[in-house]
Amino acid sequence: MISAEFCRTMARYNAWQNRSHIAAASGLSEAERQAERGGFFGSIHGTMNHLLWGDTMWMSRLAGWDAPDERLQQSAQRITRWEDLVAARNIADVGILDWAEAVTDAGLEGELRWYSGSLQAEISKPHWFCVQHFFNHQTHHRGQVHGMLTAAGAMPEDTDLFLMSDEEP
Amino acid sequence: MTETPITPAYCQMMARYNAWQNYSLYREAKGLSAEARDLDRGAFWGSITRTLSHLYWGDMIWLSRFDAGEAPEGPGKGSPDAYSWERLWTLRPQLDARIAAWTWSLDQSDLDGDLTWYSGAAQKEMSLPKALCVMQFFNHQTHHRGQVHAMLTAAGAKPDDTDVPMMPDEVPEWR
Repeated sequence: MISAEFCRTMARYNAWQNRSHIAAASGLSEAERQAERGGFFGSIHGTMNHLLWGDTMWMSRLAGWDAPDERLQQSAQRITRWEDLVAARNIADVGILDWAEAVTDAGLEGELRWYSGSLQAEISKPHWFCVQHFFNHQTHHRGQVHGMLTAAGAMPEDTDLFLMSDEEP
Repeated sequence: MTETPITPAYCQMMARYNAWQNYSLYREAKGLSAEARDLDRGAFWGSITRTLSHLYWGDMIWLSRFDAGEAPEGPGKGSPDAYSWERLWTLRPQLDARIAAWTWSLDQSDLDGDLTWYSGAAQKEMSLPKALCVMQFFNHQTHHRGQVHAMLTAAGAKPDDTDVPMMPDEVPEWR
């Protein structure tokens, strides 16, 4: 199990790390962000796009957000303009912080059920397990983006959870 | 923190995920040439091998604080060069078994309170909530595996799924 406190810590970490990646990527050219670098979702922009798609999909199940219209296969191409991706990311991260602030330990118990478009089936998993996956999936894809950012000469901030400032919202 | 944010069950699940993902990345890295594994691809720690060495070192240092067992060799600043690929291939499954054993030895009360240790990097005694340190341990793994994953796919390798819900019931054998 994880608690509501876990969600709040990881929501702050998510917002901090995304801000760091956006700042680092904003210093690159459009061509550098879009360059095919052989990541699972290709480019820096494509991977960040997929991650926002995934976060929005999970928040539709966890917090009642509107699910993205696009399928997984289109997730890396979903938002084409960098400025639009940044704006949508910032809105999502505030929404994730709000959700984490409101979540309760009791709310993380029991099963979460949803219809998976990828698997074409009704799925049921322990609620906490899904939330944990939501945060782990972020760190995994940010790790890919981090590798591509440094390869492009950009330098994101520290990534260690225990170095997170208390001033993170 | 008013309460412990994680339980032993969370740690056990993440230990299984760690072992599964490490096997996937190591299997794919083994399929590359030594040159491809050691190529500086511009990640924070440069190459696939150096990132895996850093992650092994980091896992050893945190785990030694959690289970009072063996600590890694040398100081943290040497972490990317502390272990060769051949040693990592032998040592990584041993460490992953030790991580799993530690998680299965945990009681909820073991995750309460603060962890205090001497940090070689900060040159001072550090103290943080134990649960936060354990979260750091597992999050640090996923972060660096993400970097390695990007370098592996760029090298043409194909690691397994990375989503926790796709985790098999049994971790594949290391070979």
